[in-house]
Formats: sequence, structure tokens, C-alpha cells
Amino acid sequence: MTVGDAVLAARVAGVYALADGVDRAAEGFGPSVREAVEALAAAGEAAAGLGTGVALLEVAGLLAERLDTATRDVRDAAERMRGAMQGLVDGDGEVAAGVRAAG
Amino acid sequence: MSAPPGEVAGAAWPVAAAEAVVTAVDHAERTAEDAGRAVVQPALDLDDLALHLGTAWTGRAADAAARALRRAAEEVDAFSGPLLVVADVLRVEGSALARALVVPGGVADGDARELAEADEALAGRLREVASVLGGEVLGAGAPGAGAGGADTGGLAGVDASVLPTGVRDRATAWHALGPAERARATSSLTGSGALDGLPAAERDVVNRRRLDALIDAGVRPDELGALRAHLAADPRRMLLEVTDDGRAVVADGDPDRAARVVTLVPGTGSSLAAIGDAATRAAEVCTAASAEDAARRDADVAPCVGVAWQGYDAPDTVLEAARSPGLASAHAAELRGLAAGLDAVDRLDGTDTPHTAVGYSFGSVVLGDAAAAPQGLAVDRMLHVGSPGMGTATSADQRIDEGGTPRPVRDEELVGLRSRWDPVPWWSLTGALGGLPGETEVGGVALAAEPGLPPAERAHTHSRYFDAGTDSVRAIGGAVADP
Repeated sequence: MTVGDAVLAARVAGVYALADGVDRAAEGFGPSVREAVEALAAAGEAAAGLGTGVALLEVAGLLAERLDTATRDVRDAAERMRGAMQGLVDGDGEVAAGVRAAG
Repeated sequence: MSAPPGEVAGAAWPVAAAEAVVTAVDHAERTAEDAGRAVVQPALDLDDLALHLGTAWTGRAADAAARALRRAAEEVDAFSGPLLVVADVLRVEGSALARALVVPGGVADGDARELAEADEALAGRLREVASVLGGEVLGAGAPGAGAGGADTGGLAGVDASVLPTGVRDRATAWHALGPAERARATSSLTGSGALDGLPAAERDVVNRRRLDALIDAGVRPDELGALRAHLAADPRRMLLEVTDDGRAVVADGDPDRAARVVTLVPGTGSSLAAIGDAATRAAEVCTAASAEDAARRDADVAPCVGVAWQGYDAPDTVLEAARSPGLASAHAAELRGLAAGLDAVDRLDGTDTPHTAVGYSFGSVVLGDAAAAPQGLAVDRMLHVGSPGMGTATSADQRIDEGGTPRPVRDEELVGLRSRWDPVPWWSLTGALGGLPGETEVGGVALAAEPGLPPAERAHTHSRYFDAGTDSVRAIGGAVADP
């Protein structure tokens, strides 16, 4: 392995590590927001018959939708990074050039 | 849609059902607040990751990946504002709903109108949040989010310049704002004390972002790094204030949800790097007060939140303090602002949580200076522990801010505690730092209690007042529990 290959491998490993960091970020927000959504929905159900109950359910539903979107987008961002590095391994010249030029 | 007043019948809300609603709303409030705070760090982390991506990978594909990361960071960050507004309105408007719902014997006809009004008020605020959540971009304009966020729900643009400068008016005005308006206003609220009057959870979120930016900029790395580590050690801790000159205020829980608040003003030698010491002492006061509560009332212990106020540049020694009394007064106004803000936010839900300020050592001078201003200090009791003087000669110059109206302090609200083995209080004989609370000619109440150290350790008495299990901390706890 040449020095250049070693640097390239280190940078690829670095991108994989950053992608793992993205996964950890997803784990850092998803469960807490999910818990809030469930609590808001439960409060909405308890308050059924009041306008508050309807509004709580609406807020919970919208948050749940947004949570799904944000979770997917965060995961996609991580996969985009891993996918590009895999592409490099499979011979994607543009990505390889981008990694060589970094630093 | 809210039921018309006539349809909110007493039979529909027996006590058990009403209490179930209150319990569920309370839980929802807590989890919404926790989540609103918890998303901040992952969002900051995603932003950092986008920044670091360039060190390992460049080019068009890398730029696109970084953009995707930043977009994801904005999406995550944008949960914070709406969730914190939900928590805020569940606390404030939810309290009014709870009072209208939980009526002995169930809601009767005469209570139905009050219930309908409380229900509509809370439902209206929640619908406001829903209208923002339903927009194209969630939580538009949140600090850190792009400027192109949604302006949904017909919310007009708001900047901080339209917020009242008075802390109590600011608290009321802030509470009336929706998520998008708060996000826009928050980005303009800069400078020490600018967040007084905002809910503690929102202060925490804004200040954590500030702390992150200060650390990234290389400002006071040792002190701010220690502060960050202190916050990271317990997720319940809230950063109520942080400044670029190395001052901060940290609560060990949410003061807006507490049944009792204790703010500790530390003394000579204290610093941001050692904020854990002040936090530990505040927590020990809370523990002692809660134990006193349990012993007296044989009931559930009131949740107590301790606040470590490292909001001033403390002198290293009492000698230095005596030469530079201006150190105490330099930031006394900020202590007043914090206390008034906590009080104003607390009162929005119709409660008045007891708040005791404890001035320890030279912190006693800071506390006394804060209460010497014409507007007074918004606390229910002031304790001076190991004081070298309270900044003023007598209690006649000490005032309480009672919901925005100043009045002279009453004797029982001004308490001094000192050990006969502690040399620091003897400084009061010089008059340089004011009189000792509890002395006959000064006013207030004196508590006599010793840390109870063996003779060989009495030289350390001044630093042991708050040690767990001592007579002195028990006496302090008793005084805090008294109101």
C-alpha cells in the first residue's frame, strides 16, 4: 500500500465514522420526540370531549409525521455518505478524487 | 373543536376522569419539554458533522452530502420550538384547565362556563402550534434554522425590539407568542439578562446554543469547558445564563415546574470552573429543606430546584472583597433580573412558588446589594450564611419585590446564620461590607447553628456550613422550608 492509498483509506474510514455519528444523532432525538408524541396523544385521548383533546391529538399527529420525515432524512444522509464510500471502493473515480483532494 | 359551554356537563367530568386528564396533561408537558431540550444537541452534532465532512471528502457529491446533513440538522432542531411552546401552554393554560376541571364532586353547571373558557384557551394555543407544524417547513426560523422558514398560521414577523424591556411585561408578552414568533424573537435576544422572563426550558435551549458557539470560537475554553461538562453530567440541569466573560447560572432542574426554588450566590474564590461546588451547596439546601418538609408535614416532599448563580466575578479573598466592594454590586441587577424573571414566569400559571436566595460568604454582599435597589429582589426569603456583611448597614435598606411591587423586607424574611468559629462574619465589625443580618441593630433573624466540626477542624468551619448532615445545613433547610 502506498502512502497515498493509506491516506485514502484513512479518509474513507473517517467518512464512515462520520456516518456512524449521524446514526447516533438520530438515536439522540428520535426516542425523546417519540415519547413526547405518545404522551401528547395519550393526553388528547384522556381529554376526549374537550377541544383540548382534539388539539392535542392534532399536534401529536403532526409531530409524528415530522418525526418520520426527519428520521428518514437523517438516515438517508448517513446512507448517502456510506453509499459514496462504497462507490469509491467499487471504482467511482469522482468520489475517489474528492477524497484524495480533501484535508 | 371545543364543546359549547352547555355541553360541558358536570356528569361528563367526575373527579376521577378530571384527574386523569390533569395527570396526562402534566406528563405530556414534561415529556414535551424534555424532548424540546433533547433535540438541541443532536442538531448541533449534525451541523458539526457536516462541517467535518469536508476534511475527509470534497467535490460535488460531498457538497450534496453536507447539504443533506445540514438540512437534517435543521429538521431536528426545528422540533425544539414547537415542543417547548406546547410545554409552556400546557403548564400555563393547562393549569387553568386543571383548576376548572378538578372540582370537588365533579364539574357542576355553575363551573361549566369556566371550564369551556379554559378549554378554548388551551385548545386555541395548541391549534396555533399545529398550524406551524402543518407548514411547509417545520418550526421556521428557529435559531440555527435558515431564514427561509415558513410563516404559517398568519403569524406576523416579530423581533426582539417589540418585546417589553421590563422583565415582568416581557414574560407576559413572550407567553403570548407562538412558535414561529418566538423563534424569530429569540435570535435577537442577546446580552446578559436578555432572557429574563422566558421559560427556563427555552432559556436553556438558547444558552446551550450560545455555549456551543462560544466554545467553538475558543472563548474561555477551561471555564466554559467545565460548564459544558457540568451540564452533561446531568441532563436535568438547565443553563439559565451564560456570558462570554465567564459567568453563568445553572439550575439543577426546571424552576418553572418546581414547588420550591433555592438560588445560591457563592462567595470568594468561586468561579465558573468550580460551578459544581455552588450547585452542590444549593442541592444540599434543597435536600435539607425537603427533609424538613417531610418531618413537619409527613407528606410528599415538595420538589425543590437549586440554582447556582455564578453571575458575578467573585473576588479570591475577603480582603480583596473588602477593598473592592464594587465587585458585589457590579452584577446585582442581573440577580434581580433573574429572580424577577423566574417569579414572573411562575405566576403565569396562577401559582407563586416559594423562592429563597442564599448568599454565602461574599455572596451575601451580592445578595444584599441586589435587595438594596428601589425595586427590591423577587424572593420570599433571604438567607445570609457566613456573611461578612450584607452590603447595607441595616434591614431598613433591604426590599422584597412582591409581584412587581417593592416593599420593605420583614424581619422573618431576612435570616443570618453564622458559626462562632467562623472568622469571616467578624469582617462586619469594620462596616466595609455592611451589617450582619440577625444582629439587633441590623434587623432580621439570627440562626445559631454549627457545622459541628471537631476542634481540630474548626478552622474550616466557613467552608462546611452546607455539608450534608450538619446542624448548620439542617438549620438552613428549616429556614427555607419555613415559608
